Amino acid sequence: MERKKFFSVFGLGMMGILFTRFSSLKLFSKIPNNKKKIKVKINPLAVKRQKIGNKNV
Amino acid sequence: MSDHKNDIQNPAPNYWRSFEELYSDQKFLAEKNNEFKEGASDAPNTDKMSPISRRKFLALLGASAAVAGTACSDYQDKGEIVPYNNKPEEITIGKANYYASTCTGCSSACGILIKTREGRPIKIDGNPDHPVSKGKICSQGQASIMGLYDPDRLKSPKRKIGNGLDDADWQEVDKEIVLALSTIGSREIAIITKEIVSPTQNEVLKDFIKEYPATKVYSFEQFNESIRKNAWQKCYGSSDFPFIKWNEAEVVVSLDADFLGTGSHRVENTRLFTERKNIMNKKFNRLYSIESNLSLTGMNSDYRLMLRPDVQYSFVMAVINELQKKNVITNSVNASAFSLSKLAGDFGLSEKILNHLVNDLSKKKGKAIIYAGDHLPENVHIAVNLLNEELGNSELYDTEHSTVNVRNLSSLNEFKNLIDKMKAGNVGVVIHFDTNPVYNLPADFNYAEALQNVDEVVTLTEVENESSGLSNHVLPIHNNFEAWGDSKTRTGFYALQQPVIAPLYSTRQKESILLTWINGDTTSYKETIFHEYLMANWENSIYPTLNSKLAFNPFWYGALHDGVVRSNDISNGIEDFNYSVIMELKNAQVKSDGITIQIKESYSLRDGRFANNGWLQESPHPVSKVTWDNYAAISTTTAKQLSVKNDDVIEITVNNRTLEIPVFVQPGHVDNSITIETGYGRTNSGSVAEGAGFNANTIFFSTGGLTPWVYEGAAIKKLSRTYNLVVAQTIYDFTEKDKKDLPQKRGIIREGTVEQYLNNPHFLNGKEHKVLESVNPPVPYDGVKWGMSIDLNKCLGCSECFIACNVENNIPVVGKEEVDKGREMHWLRIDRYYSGSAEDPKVSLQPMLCQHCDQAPCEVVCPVVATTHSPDGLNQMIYNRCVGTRYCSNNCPYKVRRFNFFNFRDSFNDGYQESPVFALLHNPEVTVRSRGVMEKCTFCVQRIAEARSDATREGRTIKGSDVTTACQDACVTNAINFGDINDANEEFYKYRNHELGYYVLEELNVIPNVTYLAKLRNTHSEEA
Repeated sequence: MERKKFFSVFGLGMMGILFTRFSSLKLFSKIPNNKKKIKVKINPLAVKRQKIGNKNV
Repeated sequence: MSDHKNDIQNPAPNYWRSFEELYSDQKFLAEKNNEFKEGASDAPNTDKMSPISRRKFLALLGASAAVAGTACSDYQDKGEIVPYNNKPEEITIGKANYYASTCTGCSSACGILIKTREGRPIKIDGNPDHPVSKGKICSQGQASIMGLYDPDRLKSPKRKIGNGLDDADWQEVDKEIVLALSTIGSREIAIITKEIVSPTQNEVLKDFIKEYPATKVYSFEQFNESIRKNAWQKCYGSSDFPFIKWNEAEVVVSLDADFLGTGSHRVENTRLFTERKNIMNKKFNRLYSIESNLSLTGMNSDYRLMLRPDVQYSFVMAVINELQKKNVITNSVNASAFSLSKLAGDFGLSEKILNHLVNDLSKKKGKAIIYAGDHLPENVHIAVNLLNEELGNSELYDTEHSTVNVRNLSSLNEFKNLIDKMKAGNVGVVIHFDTNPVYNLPADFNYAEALQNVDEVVTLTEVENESSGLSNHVLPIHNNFEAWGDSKTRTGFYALQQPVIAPLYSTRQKESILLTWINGDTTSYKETIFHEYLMANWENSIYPTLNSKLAFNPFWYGALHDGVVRSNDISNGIEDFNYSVIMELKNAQVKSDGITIQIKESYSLRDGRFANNGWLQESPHPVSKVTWDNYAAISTTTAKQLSVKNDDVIEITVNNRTLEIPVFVQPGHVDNSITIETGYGRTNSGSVAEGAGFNANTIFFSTGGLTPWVYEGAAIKKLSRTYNLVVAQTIYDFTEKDKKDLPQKRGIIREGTVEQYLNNPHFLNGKEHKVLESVNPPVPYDGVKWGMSIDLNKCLGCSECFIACNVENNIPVVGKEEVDKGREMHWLRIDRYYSGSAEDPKVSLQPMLCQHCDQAPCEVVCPVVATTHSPDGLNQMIYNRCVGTRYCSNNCPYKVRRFNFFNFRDSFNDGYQESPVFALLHNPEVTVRSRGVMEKCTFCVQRIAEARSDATREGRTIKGSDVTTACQDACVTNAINFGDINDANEEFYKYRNHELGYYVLEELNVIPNVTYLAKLRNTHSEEA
């Protein structure tokens, strides 16, 4: 393999690997549609308790 | 060299570049005439060069860069950690909040406390203020937290398009359904629900009926107490079967009743029952279990007899006859055709045990209770009610409280009529209100077929199920922790359910969906619609009956804080026994031929509603220890007769329907009978449940059997294939002499009888517990030293502690294949040991976890000191230091260390546990371990650290009683105690130093910090 061709193949391969590992699109992820961020919001109408020592008050 | 002195004085007028040039060095001048330096034009000496060519070097460089890039790029995206711009008032960073609520996992409606961290619910425990559950809940209740973060949950409404379901808009589907409801004409609208225990939900249904008068509500539970209630109605004129004061019963006779393992009152039953297994006040009850399959209740019995369900009537009548002969009871029922000695002969029952049973019932009149299983026929229950009445055992009925039926369950006949109407095209709309009738209704109803004649089928559900697959519209509903609600299960109190997290997806509260349809205006929906309805119902209907001195608003917030509200309604009491009912007790033997089949509720998945919960699927069966599957349990003798062994697949034919299922030979199973647990074999219920087990409901029928759960005369055919059942703990060979009763021989299990103990409290260890010599000098522990005690008299092997440990410590689900290789990650397991014969074994149970040994064998073999001992006696794991040699696990005599062969979160079910929503489930106080790391029980070190931090803040030293472990909190029977070994003033100290205390494998002298209190069997003295 000539030098130029080798570097082209090598460069493309590296780009491919980096793309699959770091791409934010995650096209190659195991869980393609499962990376959606989940927003956690508490329900303001609930009435909380706290643990003080061994008692829950 | 030339004369330098003269040259310096008369320098040549030219430029020079070196002293050699300046002074015309001869060697330099000679070299100057050569174009190249000496050797520069020579051919290179390849012998002295690196053997790697330039090209190869670059290729290697490239490959190594690629490998390094690949290997180092697998770090999880940890996201951004940013502080709150507006911190919610309720949240203190790093501090847990708790919310009182109600579990909706079954109709028991236990009170729960939901622990949240930064708004995320992460752990469920019992609400100590709840008058029934009293701070404890079952394993399903604890594991239900996984349901909230189940990635398989429906995230938006769906509409049927072709053969599949497609995402839709809420308003559009509402419009379509409202149109179908309002144009129903003369046809029926059927709403199918689970058992309704919420008064406000019932009001919503009533309002729905007002708006759409063609509506009929059908409530169904596959496993219910309808037969018991009907029998009670006939005997006492009311369908409210009373609660039993198990804690006052000295003798309990269980007729095929698994009252400690299944059924809706099991948490309360278990707590009360074990109050009388008390080594401190030396009060012990005696349990006789007469059952077909070895159940959790049977495992914990003092005497056990094996009898098929179809012979239970003969048995109870024979007991009546025996007691009549002894003049213990004097009723007019004619039971002369029944004889205990004949039964003993026919079914191989021990006459000695039968004599004990009859004598105990005679002597303990008013202090014994006989209790029949829900699946037994009505005549058995009537005979049992009569026997309890005659023996004065009605003293043990709790007359202060009685059940409250918000809405009665529909009978099977009502369902039969519904199906007929559906088949005739007289039902226009069917609404599955968080229920799954396609899977759970009896197979002979052919419900799925009948649904095809209904124009509009709507399923309200969290995760897709068999019923949603046949629906036109599938509407996602809130999880328990996102929803409002209330419940009324018995007299004396109400309970409230409050949402602790805003909905994660575009789901709706199921009652809000009905309210929107009642409204008719589909744009009127808002998230608070049911909250307002609930508050209004309480303000107008419930609050006025409570005679509260508070105004409604402070009352309401107080009620939400407590989770329960006391009410003034009282029990109706118990009427006199109606003796005319004994006419129904026929004086004729009931005996059937062939093989009897019993369908039973699963210990883990119940009726299938928890099938998509990985923790519960992987929870070993309390008796067989099989995970991820159900099976046909048969006796050793029947297995021989059918020429089958474990894993052989058989075909069971009942009423022309067949079930193919693998065999599991269960020691202690009665002959000519098969027991199958249901809840498995789901076909559309999420990715975890997929492929797990076999659908036993294919042979669940409304008629044709002794009861819907028991069939006689099944045909069995052995098929040529096998199926791999995975067992978490295998059964050692009963026949091999050396191995027989090995746990007892090695002192793993140490037991005695109550009689032995009362005669000599030091029978187990002698008066002075011998301390073994050690070559290692003892390490002084001056401050707190942590220890645990486990009372094997109270431990029933129910798995509550096991599930609590999983939830608290972020234990991953690994899947069936990995469990098969022994790679389950459970920090705590419940070992089940058999002794005696395979046909009729005795069972001993032992929770096994890291013993935190003072002379821990794991610590001395770790080459990187990843496992060490803390100054307060904990055997610690340092995950960052562990390199995964597994020497520690190899050297642990208790085999309680678990190794992460993979990142199980990633490897199980295609990364199911790596989903972002699943990460919200994790306890932030506990490290999530990855591949290559050893792990084990930490004695909940995170709780110790929190308690120590609290104590420091309060300016005091930490006490043993400041800490409770997750397993201890969960244990319904309070078998687990935890505390400071050095503090003689603590309750724990009494257990640690109790005369029944022993260490497992004590002869190894590893000095464990877990003490087991030996089990005492309350048998008669001659069997000591």
